[in-house]
Amino acid sequence: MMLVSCQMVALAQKGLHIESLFAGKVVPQERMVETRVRGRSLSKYGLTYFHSLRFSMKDKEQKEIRRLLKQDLEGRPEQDYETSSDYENYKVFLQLPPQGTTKRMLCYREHYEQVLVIYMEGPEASFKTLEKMSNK
Amino acid sequence: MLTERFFYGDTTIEEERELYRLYQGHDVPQDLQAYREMMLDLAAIGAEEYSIMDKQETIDIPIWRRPFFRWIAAAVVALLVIGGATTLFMHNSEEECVAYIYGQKVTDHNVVMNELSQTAMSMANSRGDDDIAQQLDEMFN
Repeated sequence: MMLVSCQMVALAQKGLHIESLFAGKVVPQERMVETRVRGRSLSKYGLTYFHSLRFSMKDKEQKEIRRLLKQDLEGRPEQDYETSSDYENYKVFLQLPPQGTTKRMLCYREHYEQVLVIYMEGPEASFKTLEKMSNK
Repeated sequence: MLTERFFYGDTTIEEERELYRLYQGHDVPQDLQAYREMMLDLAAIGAEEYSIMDKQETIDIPIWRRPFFRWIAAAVVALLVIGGATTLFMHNSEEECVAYIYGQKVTDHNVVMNELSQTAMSMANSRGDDDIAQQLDEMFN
């Protein structure tokens, strides 16, 4: 039972190719700021799980991350995701299939070499939730 | 052999009972026939003593000293320990608030939640750049 619980904690992004980024396999964890929150601290936002990464990437890493994102978008209905790209920014917003009443969302933003990735779960996991969390 | 041990006083009560049963039978070896009468007498005396001892054992052994009760008690304690540990672990696995800042683990709730807010704000601010988020909000909410 303990082993199963450990796996549940570790594999919240299971099924996504970007999981390897969260697992520190693309960018070393020593070069990033990782935040992982689960439970009561998130209840006021209607979330059950929040996992984010913030780091500066290198060119090689950028290629690998974009490859993973592309794989995660492949085969998904167009209405489930949006991407935008220009000289400064590259963004991916992906609404994953809900698990019961739990919505799941992956947000990715590149601004030059600065990267921000958020994976969140919960009955109210949406962009509005991000605004609420940032106290705007 | 058992008879020899009996005379040396090395036999247990169970062995003595077994010995008495053997001597009560009709196939006692010839070389042990000399002891038969004595053994039958001892058996008669012993039967009374054992009967009394058995009754005392039944009456005197408290329930918490009986092997069966001890096994039950051990099983209950083991279940409580395992159950408690599992509950505690499950509770902890549902609660997590941690940040790894360039490899340094931080568990201070305020620091972690502040980082969470900053991250959320940065992502939310990117909404102003285009209308993607607005579109997705409309679609899913």
